[in-house]
Amino acid sequence: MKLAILSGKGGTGKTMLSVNLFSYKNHAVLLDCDVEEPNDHLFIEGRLFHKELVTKQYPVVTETRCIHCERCGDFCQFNAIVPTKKRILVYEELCHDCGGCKLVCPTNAIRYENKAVGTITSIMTPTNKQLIYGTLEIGEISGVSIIEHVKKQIQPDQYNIIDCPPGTSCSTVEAVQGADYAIIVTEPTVFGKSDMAMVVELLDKLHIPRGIIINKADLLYDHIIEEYAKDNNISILGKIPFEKTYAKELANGNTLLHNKEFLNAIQHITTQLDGEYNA
Amino acid sequence: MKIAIPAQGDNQYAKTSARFARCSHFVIYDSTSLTFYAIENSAIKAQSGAGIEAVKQLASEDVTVVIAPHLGPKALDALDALSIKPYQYDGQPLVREVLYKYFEKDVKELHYATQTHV
Repeated sequence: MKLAILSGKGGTGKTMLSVNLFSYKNHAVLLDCDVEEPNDHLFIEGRLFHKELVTKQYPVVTETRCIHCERCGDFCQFNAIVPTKKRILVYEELCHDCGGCKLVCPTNAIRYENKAVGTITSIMTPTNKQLIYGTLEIGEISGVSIIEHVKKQIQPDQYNIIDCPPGTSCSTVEAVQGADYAIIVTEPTVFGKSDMAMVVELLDKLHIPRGIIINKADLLYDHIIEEYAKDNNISILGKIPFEKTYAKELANGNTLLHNKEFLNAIQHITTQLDGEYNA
Repeated sequence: MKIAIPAQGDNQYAKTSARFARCSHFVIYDSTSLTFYAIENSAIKAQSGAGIEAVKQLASEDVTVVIAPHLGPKALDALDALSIKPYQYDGQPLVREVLYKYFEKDVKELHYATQTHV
């Protein structure tokens, strides 16, 4: 089972839900795909059992072979390789590793070298559950390849929880695609609703079934989301109330399962989720 | 020689732009014909590396001097490789006022990044 946790708007509670759901389950794998800012490991105790570098290739030019035809610069969509009269400029951090510049070079003046773009870290909890998270190198242009590597650690016979990045950009698409079900964590505000609508559009294109959880729920404002959900025929799996004590616990790096009210909310959500998934 | 200035409009009376890489136009002064003309900046739409794309356009116009309030490290590197001299001015003058500053030597020649953009 591959469950993706999305939001659209940042700060609605994806990580909160991911780490608490992971802690609640007896057996689960947590994959933190918010590689620009992974946070899940701050809440999960465990020992490091694996770490690896993710690399990409970038062009290096042998100037003596270069005939200054500028075909490499014309081909590159990202201005990563810029031919000039003095020398060929290469901006490694902009390179998307497409291999095109080498292909179009008529004199074979371009070769590729490796550079680290991020790391994958694997943690084993005392109850033998795994947390895998990816971290993107500062300055690098795209987290997509890191996310690809994190998702290689999905275990097909396990309950995989994929904590996705906010927004609906390439990184989010890479994280959510292939999921069996998506939980949209939102907050009862117009911003929450508006960004959720973009996520729903994305999920429609990817044909992924979805349900909503209203986090920081408040009787006065929940209707903002409830009306949207009704109009768009999306189930609301549950609500987690806005509680200052929750925020305080989370700020201390603690999960919330010791709180009776929160635990009830999670139990209700998992029951609903099982029903949705089996439907 | 040709001098390029990042601008918010397409003529010498236009306001200058604080953002070199993402200005709407470059106003170019040709000292041979003593005339101004403008090009639209295609780098305004670039996802990243906009400074480089902006410089590439100016190089293809045979510009040899650029005068701007800020230039990022990628733009400066590209300007150097394309043998275009960068100068800096303060404030938000009009395009033609920047030229007066240049000819009165009231601009600073640049050798390092004044601001880093990612």
